[in-house]
Amino acid sequence: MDFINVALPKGRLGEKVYDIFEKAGYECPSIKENNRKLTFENAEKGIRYFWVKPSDVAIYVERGVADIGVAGKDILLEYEPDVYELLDLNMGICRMAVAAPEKFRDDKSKTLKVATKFSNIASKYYSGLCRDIDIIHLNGSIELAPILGLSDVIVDIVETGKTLLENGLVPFETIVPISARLIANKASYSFKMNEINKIKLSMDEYVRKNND
Amino acid sequence: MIDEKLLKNEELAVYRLRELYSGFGYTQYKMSKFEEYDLYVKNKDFLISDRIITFTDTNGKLLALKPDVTLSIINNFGKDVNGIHKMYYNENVYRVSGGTGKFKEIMQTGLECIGDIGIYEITEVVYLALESLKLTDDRFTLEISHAGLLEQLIEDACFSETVKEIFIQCIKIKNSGQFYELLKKGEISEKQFRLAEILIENYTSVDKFFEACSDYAVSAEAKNCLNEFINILNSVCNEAFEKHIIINFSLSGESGYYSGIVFKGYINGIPSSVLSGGQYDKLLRKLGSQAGAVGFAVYLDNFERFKITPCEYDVDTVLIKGEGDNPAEIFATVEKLKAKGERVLVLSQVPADIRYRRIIGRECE
Repeated sequence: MDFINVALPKGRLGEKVYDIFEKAGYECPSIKENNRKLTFENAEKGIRYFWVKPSDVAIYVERGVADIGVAGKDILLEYEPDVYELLDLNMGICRMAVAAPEKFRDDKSKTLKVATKFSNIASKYYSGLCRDIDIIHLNGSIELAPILGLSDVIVDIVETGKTLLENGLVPFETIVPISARLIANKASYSFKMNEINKIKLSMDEYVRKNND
Repeated sequence: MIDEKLLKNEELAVYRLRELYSGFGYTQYKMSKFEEYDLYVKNKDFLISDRIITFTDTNGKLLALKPDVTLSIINNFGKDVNGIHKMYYNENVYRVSGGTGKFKEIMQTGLECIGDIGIYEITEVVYLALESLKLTDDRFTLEISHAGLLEQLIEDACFSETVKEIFIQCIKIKNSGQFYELLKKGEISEKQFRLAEILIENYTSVDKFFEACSDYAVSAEAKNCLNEFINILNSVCNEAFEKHIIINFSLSGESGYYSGIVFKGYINGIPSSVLSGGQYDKLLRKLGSQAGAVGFAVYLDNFERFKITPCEYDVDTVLIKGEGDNPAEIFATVEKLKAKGERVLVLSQVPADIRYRRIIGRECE
């Protein structure tokens, strides 16, 4: 029997996603045990889960180690993995936005300095606006960049805007709405289409019911 | 006689594929490792990646290490193609690897059929693609689509330019969600949404696909494309292959050069496609030729880690030679052991990093 391998993002979102799998009939009780194990399987249901860093889910799926997984749209836009994006789970909803100190006014005669973790998304966005920018790639604490004068603006994920506010920043423009997506490896989909579609339909049903 | 046990996966594949293609009258086409950079700059869209290794030749010309074989074959053929030419190749290409972002040498085998091609030639190439996959493993799929049909269905559905782009993207990643949003907002009709759903789905039955799609092929061009597609599919969907063929329109949007069928092959256990091809008349038009062309490439680098049964030993026998041993006598001993099917390594000391079944001195034999 071929297992369906599922890469779940570690953390709160992953736990919520697992609950949907469970309700859809793909339970794996051992996953809820309090231990440090990273892989769990239910041979009877033919499903195997593994917890991975959220930003690595797309890599596991693209490389075929996982047949399916749940990744944020931000990761899919930034790294453009060659995968199918089967379903918008309407979870982990936030947005990719440009934020800056409240008094910031864009001086279009100068190159705009943009600090971000999402260089690809930021480059594409500003290239669409024909705006000359200087990307400063940071790996964390992005909000610090405009405060210390490292950048004029930041491009980052905004959920409630609280962190921005606490650091004296405000979101100026929304680049793209973000939510969690069910993704699939293309080769796996070719061989396990029926099983993957069954999971997708169950999840779709759950998502629609919760959104109505 | 070649002992297949000695061949690596990719070498074995090349050996079998050459036999298959030459059996259908395809002749081997050998080409230079370098090509003028200009060729790739003008046809960047045809390439998987536009990053190319370049260098300056002694005469000042900018050359490139081939990132693709098809472009070179067409370029070397020139604009005037008379009749039909069938050829296969086995070449190394140099591309950026998706995973690492670094350049990689990739062994590629494939075939091209160029000239006055018709339905027979297209069907033959699809058949050979199926046979190529079958030679490698029993568990394979050939996903197939028709770029011309997709283009005509989009035309017939009268999408606006903006919606057309979203439509193609939705089909490519198999997500109707964004399209559903447009339906909810009233920006597209139910019929247009249904077309997206039909084309996002994969079909394993030709009849089921025809039934779902035929109402949407309104214009004469769309009907012609649909008939051609169905004709090709019915010709190759015999007992041996019907379970391996999947109609999948997510393939169509990948290159603007395909005008007819497009296909990709997968082998269970390899996480990306191992074969890719289609009918690319549009590329020939761009290069100024009126001929047609269809072909495919098999990416042998993906075979490297496929189904490898780990070999317990690097060699069967390590033969320890003495200082004054006569070379002719050592050769004779090695030949004797080789004749028994053993792999023999001659050394003067016991090796630390070699796995061997047994170790002998020459006097033991």
